[in-house]
Amino acid sequence: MSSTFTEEQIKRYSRHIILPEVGGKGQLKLLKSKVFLVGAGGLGSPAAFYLAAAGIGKIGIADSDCVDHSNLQRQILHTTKDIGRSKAISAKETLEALNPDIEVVPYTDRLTSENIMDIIKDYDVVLDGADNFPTRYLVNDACVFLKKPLSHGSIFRFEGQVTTIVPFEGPCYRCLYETPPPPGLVPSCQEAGVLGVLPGVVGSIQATEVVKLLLGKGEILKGKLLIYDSLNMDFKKVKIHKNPHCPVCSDKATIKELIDYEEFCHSHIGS
Amino acid sequence: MRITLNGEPKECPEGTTIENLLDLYKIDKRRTAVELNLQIVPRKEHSSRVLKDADVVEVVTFVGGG
Repeated sequence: MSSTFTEEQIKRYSRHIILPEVGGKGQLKLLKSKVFLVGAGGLGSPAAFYLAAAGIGKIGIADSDCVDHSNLQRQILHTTKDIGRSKAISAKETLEALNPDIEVVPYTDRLTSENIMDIIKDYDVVLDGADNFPTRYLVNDACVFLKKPLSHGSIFRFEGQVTTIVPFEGPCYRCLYETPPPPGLVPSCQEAGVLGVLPGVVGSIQATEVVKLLLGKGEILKGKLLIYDSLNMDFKKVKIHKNPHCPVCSDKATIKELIDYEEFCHSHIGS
Repeated sequence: MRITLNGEPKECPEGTTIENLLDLYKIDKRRTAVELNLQIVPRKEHSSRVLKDADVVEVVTFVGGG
């Protein structure tokens, strides 16, 4: 990546370049940045769109699912003609059509304890838009072990939650939710429904956090959980703190390497 | 006694534990994280931790979809 803009880049990113908080220097930083997205679904769609448009130089996007009819109500990376195709591949095509200036790397395998460290180690920031608890704990732990900033977002019916995890500086996902809820107790979007616009807001907030992290500007949601209630249009911030007994990021950490997350999420029945 | 639950003042009887409080306000205790005076209380201590007057409790519910 060169340290100057092409004429086309100056035009494309002009509204960023004239912002004092971004400027030419900040835009060049974004063009050299690498962001990894977990999921090309409800949250990954808006987040990836805005990160691609912002000129994040390299976007990795992982999703092992294929596009289904029922996804199209909110997963705006994909169109009707993509039904049955890999979400990661569909995402790459959509994002590169929006901005041919960037590189998009699709990952169609499911993220596991065996492959995640190798996959994410070269990215600067990770954005979690997963749809299941095993993946959320896996991504949290991997980011803690690699000391990689992580934007966490999750949605359910009309409610969304966002926090930005900077490992060891602030709390991680396990500081807040040490163990997963018993299986089946927290229904998925498939079981309980979700307002289509909700992930648009939540994923866009996550993308905003990622851009600020990369630029080193503004206040991020470190140590804060933003709770968005779209039905009552209420935004609330709850302070969260590092758990001195956190099993992965405290001095008393008991988990030092990735575990079996499927087993972990199915072994807390009634706890 | 008077405590603060998710930013709102609430009344509860002396000796109320975190678990009692969640039951009182019909909050499903298996899918929540509870912060008492800015410290997360592990789920296994919810039934033994007794609240005091002026305690500040934040209850956050698990949300997992993406």
